[in-house]
This record gives sequence, C-alpha cells and structure tokens, in this order.
Amino acid sequence: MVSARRVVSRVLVLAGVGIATLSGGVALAQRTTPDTGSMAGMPGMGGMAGMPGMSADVAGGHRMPAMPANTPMMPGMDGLRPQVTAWLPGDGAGADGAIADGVPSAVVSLRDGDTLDLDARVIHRTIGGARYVMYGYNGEYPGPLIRVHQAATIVVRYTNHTTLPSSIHWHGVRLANASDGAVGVTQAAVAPGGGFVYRVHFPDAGIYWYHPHVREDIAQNLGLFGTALVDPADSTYYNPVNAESVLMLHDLLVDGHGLIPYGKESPDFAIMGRIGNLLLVNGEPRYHLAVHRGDVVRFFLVNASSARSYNVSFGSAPIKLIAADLGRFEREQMVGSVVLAPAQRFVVEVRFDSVGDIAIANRVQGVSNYAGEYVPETDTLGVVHVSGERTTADHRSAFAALRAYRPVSADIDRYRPLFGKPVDRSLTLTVNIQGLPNAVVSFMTVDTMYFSPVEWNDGMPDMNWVSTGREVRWILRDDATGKENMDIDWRFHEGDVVKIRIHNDAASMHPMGHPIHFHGQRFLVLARDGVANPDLAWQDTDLIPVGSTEEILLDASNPGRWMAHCHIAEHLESGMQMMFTVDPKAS
Amino acid sequence: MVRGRWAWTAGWCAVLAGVVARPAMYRIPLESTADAPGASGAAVLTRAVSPFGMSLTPDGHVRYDVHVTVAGLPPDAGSAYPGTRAYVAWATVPDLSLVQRLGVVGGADSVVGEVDWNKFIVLVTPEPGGAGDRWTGPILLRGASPSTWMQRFQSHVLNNGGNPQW
Repeated sequence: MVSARRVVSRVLVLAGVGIATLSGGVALAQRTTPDTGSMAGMPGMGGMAGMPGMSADVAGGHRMPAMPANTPMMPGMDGLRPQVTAWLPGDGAGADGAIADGVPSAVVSLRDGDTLDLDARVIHRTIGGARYVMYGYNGEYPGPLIRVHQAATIVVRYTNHTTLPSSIHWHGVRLANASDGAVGVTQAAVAPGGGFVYRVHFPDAGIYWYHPHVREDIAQNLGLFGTALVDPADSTYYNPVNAESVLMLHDLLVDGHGLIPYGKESPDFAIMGRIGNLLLVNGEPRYHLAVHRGDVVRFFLVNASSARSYNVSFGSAPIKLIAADLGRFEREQMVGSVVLAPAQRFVVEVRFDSVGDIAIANRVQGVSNYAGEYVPETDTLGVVHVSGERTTADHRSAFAALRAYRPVSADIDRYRPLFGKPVDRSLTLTVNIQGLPNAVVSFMTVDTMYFSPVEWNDGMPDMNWVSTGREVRWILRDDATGKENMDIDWRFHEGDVVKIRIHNDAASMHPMGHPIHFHGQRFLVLARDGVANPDLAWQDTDLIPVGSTEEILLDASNPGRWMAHCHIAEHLESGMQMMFTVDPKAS
Repeated sequence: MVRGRWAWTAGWCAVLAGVVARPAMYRIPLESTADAPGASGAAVLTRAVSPFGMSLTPDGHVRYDVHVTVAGLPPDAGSAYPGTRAYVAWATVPDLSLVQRLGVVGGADSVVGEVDWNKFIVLVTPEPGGAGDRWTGPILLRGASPSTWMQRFQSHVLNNGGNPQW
C-alpha cells in the first residue's frame, strides 16, 4: 500500500495540475457526437425551443434541458413542463447571505473509536468557469475521503445545514441497522438544522461511499456524497503499486444559465433519471494524474451519478480488475474497460507504459431516438500524464501475474453448496405510467419496439424532463404475492442464504436497466440469463439489463429492517424500493 | 377531415400492433428464402460473459454470444446445393460491408460466435468448405437483430402531432 499521505497529495493536486495541463490545448476533452444529418425544414421545428442544443425557457422557473445535437424537440412538446415546482438550492446561505466556496475533498484518516463531525451545507462551486450553488459535506467536493482500517468503528456526528430533509446512508457497509440512514425505515429524516449520530463499523475491505437517503435525486446530485476507503487487514490483499487514486464519477445537468432545476415535490426526469451533460471526476471536469513510465496505479472507481452508467477505459493501457463492491474477485483478470452502473464500485490496476497523455474516457454507444440509430459518444473524464522518466519501483512482474486470492474463495466455498438451491424469492422490475401528456405517451409508444439493454445516454431529454414521480411509478413486484414496492417486507432469519431471481420486464411501457441495491448485506451473482457467472465477488449492487433475468445469493447475515431498491435516484424516489427484515438469532 | 381522422386512427392501430408484436429482445427468428423452402432457425443472443454483467467493448458496443440453430435444411448440403459441403452461419452489418463467420451449423447443436455490432443480420448459407471470410453460396436463412427495430421519430407520422401529411 502506498501511504495515506501520498493519496492525499494525489487527490489534492489533481484539479490544479489538470487545469494547467488541459488549458494548453489538449484536444482530448472534446465531446464527440457524430452528425446525424441536418433537421432543417422538419415539421414542428418552430421557435428556439425546437432547435438542437438550445434550452427552452418555460414559465414557472423550469428550464428544459438542451436537446442532443441534431435532435429537435418533438412536436406537441412546446409548453409542456414537469407538473412540479421548479427548485434550485441557494436558500441556505449564511446570515450575511454569503455562500462559501467549496474546496476539494481531503482525506480524513480515522482510527477505531474516532469521531468525525460531518455537516451538509450550501457551497459555491466553480466548474469550467461557471458558478453553481451546490451542496457539500464539510464544504468539500466530494465529501471527505474517510480512510479507516478494516474492522474499525467510527462515530459520525452529522448536522444538516441544508433546507432539505436529510440523512447519511453508508452504501455497501454492513453496519448496525440503526446507522443505515434509510429514512422511513431506520430513522426519521434529519430536519434542517437537526443532527444524527451514526456508528459506522467497517467489516469489509474496499471502497464504499456515503450519501443522503432521502431525495437523492436532489441532494446527492448536488454534491452530497463521499467515499470511505477501508484498508484491508491482510497486507497481501492488494498488489504492489506506485500510486492509488479514487475516481468518483458524477454528472450534472446544466445549461448556460446554470443547473437545470429540480422537481420540488417529486423528482422530474422520472422515466430515465437525470443524465447529466457535465461529467465530473472528484467534482472536477478535468481530472489529472502525473505518473512515471511503467508506473502501476490502483484506481478505486465509484459511480455517484444519479442515472448514468459508464464504460471507462484508460487509452490502450492494460487494466487489471481486482475487486468489486465488497471486496476482491476470486481471480484477477484483464479487462478492456470498466462498466459501472450507478452506485457500483470497482478496483482496478492500470499500468502506464506509453509516454504521453492518456485519456481516461467514458465511451458508449448512445441512442438517437430521432434518427433511430446508435451514436457513439466519448467523454474524456481526465488525463494521465506519463512522463519519460522510468518508474522508481517496477511492479511489472506483479502486474503481469493474475492472482487468485484464496481467502475470498474460501469464504465463498461456504456458500457454494447452496448455489443449486431452488429460488426462494422472485422479483419483477417494471413500470406503470399514467397521466403524462399525449405527445409524450405517443412518442414513447412508438419507441416501444426496441429498447437497449442499458440506456447510456438520454436521447430524448424533453420527454424525460416532463415526467415526474407523480406520473411514473417504477415497480419492484414480488412474483409470489403480487405485492409491490414498500408493501413488500420479506422476512429472513440471520444466517439465511436466500436465492433471489430478478427479472427486468422488457414488455413494460419503458423498460430500463436497473442497478438493484440491497442494504446491509452482501450477495453473489450466480447466473445471468441462465449462464453461470464465473467471476464471483461479493456485491451490494448489480445492474439488471432490460429483458434479463439474474439469480443472486443473498447472505442475510446482518439483522435489522433494510431496504432494497433501484439506485437510479429518480426511480428510487418514484417508488422502486422495498423492505426486508433479517430477524436476529435467538441469543 | 374524415380521411384525416381515419388516418390518425389507422396510425394508432399500427402503433399498438407494433407494441403487441414487439420482437423478443434476445432472439432472432431466421426466416427462409426461396432457396430453402421449409427451413427455419433462430439466433439467440446472450451477453458475453463479463465480470461487469454488461459486456462491452472499450468503445461501448455490447458483446453478444450468438447461438444459431437451424432446422429443415437438407441433411446433405452438397446434394441440394451442388459444389457445397456445409451450412455456415454468418453475421453481417445492415449494409453488408462487414462480415463475421460464426461457424458451421447443422444437427441439433448450436454454433456460437461473438458479435459486437449495434445492428446486425444473421445469415446461413451453404459453402464449399468450413473456411472463408465471406459467404459464396445462396442465402438460405436470414434474420435481423432486434436493435434494427429501433424506431425513427423523424419519419413517423406522429412527428407531426399525429397528423399524416398525405
């Protein structure tokens, strides 16, 4: 392991160095979306609102997001707006009306028993030269990087200085139920000005993150998230590397006037979630890392976006996959890119052998609903500058070896005899849409002939924007009982090992891939569409593509009342959540 | 006016029929051509195995394993299609500019090949041998990937508020 101090320095220098490097004219930062042809003269192209790339000012404080290049607003959409009150932060300024500038995330190293004071507050952010009013934990973006040793327990005294109800959920951490932060299940919302004390125990090594668990579509999207990096007890857990870095991926939806407003009473963008057009790494649009030729860097990737899934690559540099949400894979393997749905984490090691600037890119095949075609999209998330100077510690041989990590296999071996057990519970993922304007329903209906397994972009933001949680109800349905969402309350006993089948209904009005998250426990993905999964690692979130069926094995070992839900923030807030209870063993 | 209303209704019926007839997302029916009356087949798409669940190329294309099965073809390709010896499954893009050989098909076993194109067509042809990087025999079976059903808003009548212009 490299020292915490080095990680601090790596994280903190990124913004400044990155800006200095990229302002020199590096062309990598261009977003490339090929032309799909001129739409001039098309019917319904009246006024600015229909112009590609233009936002429409709409009454009531709403602003429609910009349409993709060469995509006009659809006829009949003029004048439509979400049936909720437009809302933006800024009402949490200090007594003098001033809002302090946010600062980059700092590492806070804590020992077992330590206490951390954490607050949520309004901050100013300057991103790409534009000023935004956003939120930050302790005034930082992202929130403090909490670094602890495995098995440590810390106390977090939280204060809510925003005007929204709040909480902190410790995503992926198998901690005591009372500190899970699930509003309405484990605690009441922390009112503005109020506080809550969390006792956070970290039983598993790896990368975790924290965020509010009420109105994530607003509060998390505005910057309330941070990471917890848990150092393993086993010194051989990770391979030797030259540097480590956390890459927290996030996106904001903005236009020339600032942030696109949020829905106050209910989320807007309820169909697909809010997919941003400003992609950030650690809160900055231009991540930068300087390394020597031959260096191996361990990256901890976290997807903190509301709805965007990523496909991250590091130029042609080789990527070795090490770990998922709750720890290592049984075996390391080389991968061409890293696919992360919202809330997922992966740990990879990358070796940089080529001198020059290596783009960290998100490369996806988006959809142009207007053209009926796929559109390749590339967003440069940052740059790794590889100097000609040779690495000071050559980890070439360790990087080349694909290690099997026996302790993980030994742990999984205890569950392997249960892989073939019958399915205990079964869920269907679907949606019910009622009351959207006819124009939206018409185009959505036309579009039901085919859906991509996962939506990598928002090809029709005008329609997505007007949909709110009042018209769109995303559903987790228990196949055995027909119960839906929070009417579901599965009962397990501590120590139960539960096989759950999850099917994503492709026949619904607007199916989407869903990252399904179980609180407080861990699970293995046993099979995808009937094909056994050979790459086992403990997870808390898994992406279920449209039309797919997955079988997971839930290790229900942590007592309490817990939530399971889709981690697309707008889907969660539009109903896609359920409960399960793990009863403790009799003492 | 009456004609317009009828057309509007007809358009909606077409839309709803389309919804009902929505193709399976991961199964391509292989339809026979005049060169192979009575033949049939299917290409089933499964996600290529990946530790991420979704298996993507670095540029974001989904990687599918294509399982091709056929039925109703003459058992001896050479007797039905002189000069050939085997039935071969291919994948190609809609403009046929790229071709990928999936493998020899026949019997009960399915042939599996990987495809990572956004939209593609699966073909089965009789061939002189198992090798070759592009088909030479007549196309006997063909089917298009479900992604080719993606609708184009720009060409649909509803793009004008549901009022056809004819």
